[in-house]
Amino acid sequence: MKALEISDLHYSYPDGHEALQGVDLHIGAGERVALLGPNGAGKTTLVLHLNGILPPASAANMRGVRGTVAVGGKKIEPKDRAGLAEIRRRVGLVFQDPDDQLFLPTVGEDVAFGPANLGLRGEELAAAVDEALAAVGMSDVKHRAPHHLSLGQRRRVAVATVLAMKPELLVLDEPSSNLDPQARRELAEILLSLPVTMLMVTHDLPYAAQLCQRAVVLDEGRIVADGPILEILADTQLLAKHRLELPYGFAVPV
Amino acid sequence: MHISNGIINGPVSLAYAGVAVALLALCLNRSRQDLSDRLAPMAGLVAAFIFAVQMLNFPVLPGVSGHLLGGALAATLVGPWVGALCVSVVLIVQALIFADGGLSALGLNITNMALLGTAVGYLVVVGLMKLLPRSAFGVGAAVFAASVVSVVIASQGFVLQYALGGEVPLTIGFGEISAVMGGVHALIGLGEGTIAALAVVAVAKVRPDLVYALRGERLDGHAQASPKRLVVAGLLTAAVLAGGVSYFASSAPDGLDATTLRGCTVNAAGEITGGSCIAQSQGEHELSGGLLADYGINGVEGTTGIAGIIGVAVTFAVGLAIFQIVRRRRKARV
Amino acid sequence: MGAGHAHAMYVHQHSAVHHLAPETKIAAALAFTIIVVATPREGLLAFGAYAVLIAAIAVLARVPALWLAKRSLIEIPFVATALLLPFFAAGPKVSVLGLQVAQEGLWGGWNILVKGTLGVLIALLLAATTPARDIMTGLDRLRLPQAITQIAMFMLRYLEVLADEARRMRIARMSRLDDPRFLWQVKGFATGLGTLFLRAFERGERVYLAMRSRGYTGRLPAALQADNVANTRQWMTVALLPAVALAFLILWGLQ
Repeated sequence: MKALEISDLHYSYPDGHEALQGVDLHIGAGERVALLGPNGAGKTTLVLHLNGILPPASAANMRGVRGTVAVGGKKIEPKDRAGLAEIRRRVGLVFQDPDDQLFLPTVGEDVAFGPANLGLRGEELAAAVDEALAAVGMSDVKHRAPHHLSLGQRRRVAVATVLAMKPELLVLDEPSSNLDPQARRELAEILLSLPVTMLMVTHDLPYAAQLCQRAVVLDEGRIVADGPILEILADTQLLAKHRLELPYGFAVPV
Repeated sequence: MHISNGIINGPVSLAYAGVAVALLALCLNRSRQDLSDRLAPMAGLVAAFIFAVQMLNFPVLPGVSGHLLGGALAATLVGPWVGALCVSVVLIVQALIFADGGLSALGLNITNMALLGTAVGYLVVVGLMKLLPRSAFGVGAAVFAASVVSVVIASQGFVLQYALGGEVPLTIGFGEISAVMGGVHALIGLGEGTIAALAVVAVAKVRPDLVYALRGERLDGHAQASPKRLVVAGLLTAAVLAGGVSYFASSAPDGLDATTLRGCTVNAAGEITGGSCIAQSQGEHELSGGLLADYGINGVEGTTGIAGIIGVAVTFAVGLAIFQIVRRRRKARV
Repeated sequence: MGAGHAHAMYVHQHSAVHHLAPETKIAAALAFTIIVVATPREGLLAFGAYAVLIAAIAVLARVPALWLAKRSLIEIPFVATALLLPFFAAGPKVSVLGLQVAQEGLWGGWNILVKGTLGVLIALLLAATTPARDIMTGLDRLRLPQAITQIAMFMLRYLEVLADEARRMRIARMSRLDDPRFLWQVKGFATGLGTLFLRAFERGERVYLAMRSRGYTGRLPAALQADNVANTRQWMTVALLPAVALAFLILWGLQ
């Protein structure tokens, strides 16, 4: 069974902008995949489809909105509330700006938010929180306010907030952006240690090469390349065509 | 602006708390219709914005700075319901967590600043938008006028509360207080309006869909709203407004007198509070030959008018001073 | 109002007062304020007794007197009003230090001063002994609509984020030589506010998406606020404050 199956996904925003124009993507269980592409390629729109935030239930039958997304064999139905709740448990979305994700007064509460929504209570809830915080090495900031943490710490806590829901697919939006080199490496180590399927949206190509085996390039709402990441990164023509660039001095390890 | 404990007596504070609760319930209901389950995060961020705005000082003159109250701004951007709700939450948090504004005066403060201020501001914006062109200047001018009116009316809300349940009777009549408060707040509104207008225009240019009062429509043309034009337009508005308020106040002493009597009945019901009501003390002082006896039906009608004129004069004087500075700076530049 | 708002007023201590359930403290502070406001201004003994009560709580809560004194400066505008009243109030005049002032005004000024001060002090003690988020939990348990407590909670969470954004924008403006000193030079400041609103609104939308991704359906899970709910004993303990204050009011205030 595939962890994620997207077939012929189309999406147009209400203003007519066609963000996705037929996306097909299959990800197997345990794979770590990098989703690459220039700004405006439709990456964020695609990510919001993975747990049913898009399309909104009201837009299900609108023009330019079709295709299916299935997570762990379960198809997303925008109008099926209970089904959506299950999808959102299976797919953990980590947003780019941790301040968007961490909205409760303390770290512990924020990590508890997801599992509490799943109905966990008391001991069980506390255990889920502690486990998730331990997994990202942030147990000691449990009672602190998110605002007082460093960006690297906040991003790790943001990962914990979705880990606490025991997701099958972890989706990260620009996990390495604005991190100092050490925080960036520490996060990589944590992500590599997690036994989940992972889809990572990023412009940080070396980071993608370090963390993922496979890369998918999205441009103008379509998948334009899909393959082993090192092969894709070695294809300079492909990269140039889709506004991707390796940093100065970086050579693809052979 | 925040009324503290002990300025307005218990029964009137309580009555206003009741009014505030009822109207807040209405706002909450209508806000849910506007935002559904997005209400808490969206309104929370808007409330944080208003709170942050109140913390930011802007220069008025060298050495003088002010900060926004934000009622009309909030109403223009997110609509009267969410706007009033957000300003109320800001006031509740200020009273409970920052000890700013008395706990017993919370109903009074919410009524003036959150409910009255936003409602009036919104009505003025929407009304003026029907008359003015849908340009940056039109929107700016509407928001400007709405802010001035909103701040002045909120101050009149306080005057009314004092008339109903002020703990101390004053030598100056409520017409004068009304005029002086109106004049001072018209000046405050000048700063409020300038900033709010420019801020709304900035939002309207980028995301007109986020300006509730525009109802999703775009701006026409590329006219710029200039702060200078706003200040000039504003001074005129302020002067007219201060004059209007004082005229209204002085021409309607009976109405104000009625309010003092109404305050009396409320007060009589709660005499344990020991707060003295206007009409009661009026009686006492008549016996003792006090000055307050002059206020009311047998009042010296001229005095209210005089205070109004003083209010307008002060407004004009400050306005003229500002004009002078503008002119000198302009000359210096040329 | 002022810059002091950026930080909540919590004073970290481990006192009996700190450990009380927040809902009891809010209710007690409110009841106490109402009793103070209801006290006739001539009840000097009662006001004295209230002040002693407040001092006792402050000692019990280990809130430094200097901290209280500094924070109560927020009341200054009302002190000014109180000082002006004797000159504008109606009624018979008395001579104080050679100045003719109205007796009624003296009482009125005293009334505002004492009630305002006592009110600010009790509110400060509440804020000093209860973290902001606990106050919200307390309000929630006192049946304030959850929408309002939730909005307040989001507000407190993002207030500093927005204030920081505003600060950075101001520094960026100043680095490009925008230094307004007159009202008609504030275009940069005001436009910045517009931008701040856009950022706040769009952040609200993103926060909402992130919450929905974790199963939010409009209510916060109750499990997040389960700890330290008031029991009968706590309520009884806390009821002491308004009860004693009420006793003072009846004994000395209502003569």
